[in-house]
Amino acid sequence: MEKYSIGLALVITASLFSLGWILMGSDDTPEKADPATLAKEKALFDDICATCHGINGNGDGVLAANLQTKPRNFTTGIFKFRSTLSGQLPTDEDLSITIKSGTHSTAMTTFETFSPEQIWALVQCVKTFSPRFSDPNEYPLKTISYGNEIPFTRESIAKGRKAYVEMQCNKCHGDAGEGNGSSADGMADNWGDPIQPSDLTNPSNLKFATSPAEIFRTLATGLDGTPMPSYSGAIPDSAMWYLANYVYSLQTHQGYYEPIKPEETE
Amino acid sequence: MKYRLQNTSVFCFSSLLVVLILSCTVITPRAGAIPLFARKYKTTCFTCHVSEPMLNEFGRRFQANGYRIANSEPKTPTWDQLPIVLAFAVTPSVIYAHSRDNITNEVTDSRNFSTYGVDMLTAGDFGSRLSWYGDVTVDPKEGAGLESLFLIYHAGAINFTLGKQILRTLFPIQFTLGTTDYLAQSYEPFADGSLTNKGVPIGGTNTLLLEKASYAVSAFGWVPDILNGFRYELAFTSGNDGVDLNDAHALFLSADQTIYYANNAPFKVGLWYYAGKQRLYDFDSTNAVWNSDGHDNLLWRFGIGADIYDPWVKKINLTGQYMIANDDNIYNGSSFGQQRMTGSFLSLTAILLPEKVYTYGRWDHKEVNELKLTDTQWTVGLKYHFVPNVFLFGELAFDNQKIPNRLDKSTTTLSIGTLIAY
Repeated sequence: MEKYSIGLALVITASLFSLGWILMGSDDTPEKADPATLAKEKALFDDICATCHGINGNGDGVLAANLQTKPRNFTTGIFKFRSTLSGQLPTDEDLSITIKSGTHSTAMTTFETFSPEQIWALVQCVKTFSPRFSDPNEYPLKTISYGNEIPFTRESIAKGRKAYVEMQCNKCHGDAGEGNGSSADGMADNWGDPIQPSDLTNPSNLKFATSPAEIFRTLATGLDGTPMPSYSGAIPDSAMWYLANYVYSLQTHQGYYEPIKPEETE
Repeated sequence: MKYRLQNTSVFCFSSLLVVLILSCTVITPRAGAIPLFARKYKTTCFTCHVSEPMLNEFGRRFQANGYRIANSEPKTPTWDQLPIVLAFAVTPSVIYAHSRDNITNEVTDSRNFSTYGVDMLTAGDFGSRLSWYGDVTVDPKEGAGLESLFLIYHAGAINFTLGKQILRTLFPIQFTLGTTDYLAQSYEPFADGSLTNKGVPIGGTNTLLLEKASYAVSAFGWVPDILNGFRYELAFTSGNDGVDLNDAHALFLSADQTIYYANNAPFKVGLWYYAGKQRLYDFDSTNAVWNSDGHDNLLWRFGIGADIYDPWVKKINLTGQYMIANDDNIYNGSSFGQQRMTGSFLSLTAILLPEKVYTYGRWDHKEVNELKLTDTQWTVGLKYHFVPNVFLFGELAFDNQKIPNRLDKSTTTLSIGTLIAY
């Protein structure tokens, strides 16, 4: 009986797989969501996002108490992952990317199975929680400049290694980039929640760092609300590219660098 | 003296457990387990679990939505993507049990190493409307077994399933921590009948048990627009492992309501009802064979329950359930006829360190009227997320079963183990 049931289940599975293939939907991108859609997606926010971010978007959903990386408090208008200068609001595209891709190694899951309409409407929902988004003085948003990208080469990595020491990145991220620098302990974000510097050697610990360009973005924008500052304007774009290439080499373990010795940091 | 020594052993084990877990707390690795759905959705286990296996609010909604995020529409995978969502879990543990018969003063001790087998888990999408879930257990002693395998057809706020599955009661084991069975939820009337040691209990394998997977067709879903969410299920089921499917049928209904009563803290209240008929085959003790004719037993189970988080820090969860189980024609210890069980549990779970350390306690109680059996169980435990994909746990359970002038048995069980999931 058991074998017969398994066999029958496999036949049904194969048949329904074919049916599912045929019934797959489309993903046309709309230009704008209407108010009814926004109301519907606010309900979606309450159903899905509010478990972490809270009904009012202030980051105190029921899951927050059990998470090391706390959910974003949307009411402050402070966001870590942006393409805009430090202190500025994120663009719609920035919010869209975060929602769609999630932030791995945290409880913020990917919502890539949502339609573009749903993502867009959730972005609008998030923007309703902070008055900053409706303040004309916040606009226009200034996005960072990437300057001239410097290729990922041994020479640029070596220069990035030098910049890593000079900018004292090791104080937080450690000599080997493992997130265990002398200042790493006891760090907190703007809300007083404990925070640890990223382990730059662990790809699963770094958010939005799948390429030197993404790392450059983090260096240029900083991670607002955390101790990670923006280096835009503080060092040349070229130095940020060197740093980005060095950090990328750390996480990809390509061995293009010599470990930093203690005497170099003195 | 022997009893005192055994108590000393339990104390030593407990002390060892406490030292082990306290010593572990000084290690603070960044943790992120990657079990089945976490891998699929590229997230950590804490998106859906308080700590494995206890589901959090997001996980409950995910489950109620047919193991999907609400309103999402996964694309049809290509063939090379199908094997990606494959995970396994293994739970090796050491279990020490000390039992004492308070009537005869007989003492029994046992130590076992349990692997729980290896669970091979798979789930995925055939398209925007269709998905599957499967769980195969490979046990060195028992071989491979199909724990569950079912298809889900998604139609918005309603999902249809077909296959072998555990029915989604208001409080399945995923809703609290702990490895010890719930007395009420795992109630098996024939097992209790054997406690009397009088006559031969009638039974066989033809049972309908809530905690085990059944062959079922089910409709369930999540309606987010009713207050803060309403969950329901209607299912028809046909027995469980080794069951003659023509002889055991039951109807299952379940519904619960969620409301954020204060400060985003959820409160749930719900009920479920399970009723059916099963054919029981009587044992001919003279010839030591099962009679082929047998008789019917009409059964029903009814449960109500509630679940609440504290509104201040939302780190304390309190869950409780009351359940009645009725069988109208089984051997109840002295004759054929009705047997009724009433049982309940109250469970408290506390988050000590987020994503890392948890503690829990549970009180279970049941009474079987016709047998005059009372069973009370206390369980306390600690769970520690040691490193990514690895949990350590320790649990101490005390159980006392009583039948006036016939049975008075106390059992203390200590379990120490690890859960490895990848």
